[in-house]
Amino acid sequence: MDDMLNNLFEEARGAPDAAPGDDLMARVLADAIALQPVPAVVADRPRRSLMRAIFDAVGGWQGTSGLVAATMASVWIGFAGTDTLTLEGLQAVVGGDTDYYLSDLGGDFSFTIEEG
Amino acid sequence: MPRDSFEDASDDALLVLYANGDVAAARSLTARLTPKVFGHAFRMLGDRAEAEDIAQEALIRLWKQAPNWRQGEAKVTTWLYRVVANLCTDRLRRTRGVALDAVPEPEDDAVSAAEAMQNQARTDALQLALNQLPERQKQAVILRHIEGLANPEIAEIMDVGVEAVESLTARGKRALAKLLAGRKDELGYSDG
Repeated sequence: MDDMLNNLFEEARGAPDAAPGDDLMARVLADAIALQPVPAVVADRPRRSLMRAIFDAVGGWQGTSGLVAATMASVWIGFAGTDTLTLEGLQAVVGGDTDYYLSDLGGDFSFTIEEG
Repeated sequence: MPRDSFEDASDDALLVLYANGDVAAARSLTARLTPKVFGHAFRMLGDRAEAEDIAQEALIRLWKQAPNWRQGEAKVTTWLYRVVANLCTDRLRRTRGVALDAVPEPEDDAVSAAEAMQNQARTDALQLALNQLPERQKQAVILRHIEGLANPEIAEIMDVGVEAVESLTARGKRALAKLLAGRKDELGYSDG
């Protein structure tokens, strides 16, 4: 009886009834493709120029405009102070007219010194 | 169906490729797994239309599971056989009364036996006998003796110990022998 059963099992293994039809194979494949995960596309990082990197580093438009204003103010101060400070000051140092006394600055310093 | 282009690749590896969007892997897995899944469902239910529904549903679950599949934890086929078994159990429970009524009594039906002799008599006879086994015995016998799986894998699929599998297959075979004993001549085993 075991031989008979083993024989029946063997025949059942190759039985055409137990093989899927083309229609089922097509349906399964259609499901597989319809449900297949779409691979995540890793977008290229946008390339940034050096100027753009600097621009961003100082804080964008706001930071840049502040920086420009501060720069312009420095330039103005430089030019505005040139006549009175740099040239006259330089002449005063280089030229002979460099003797200043405490009395020239006002106040009675001699009295203060005598008192002290 | 195109020839399997990943003959040496494991089911696990193919499933990873599938999850990464490889269409060729989808084709290979379909070609490789559908016959196993359908064959098992057909032998469990004895009905092609029902088996097709079960096979399609089981594989849909696999496709959905693919992105979360953990390689090396379970064999793809083991997982699928479990899904098929559960789906078949649900189906059998829903249609139990109808299914049992639909199974002809082979000993009392000489006409259907004669027709079966002409048209895959032995396979049909085995299927009829399988349909009369208790569900767990039937599943164990099919997995062991027709699908050709090893007892430890069957134990994993059925969520029982290996000893329980051995017991189920032994009892199932004895029951099959009893059911088919009266049909030996008819099936061409009178001399053996």
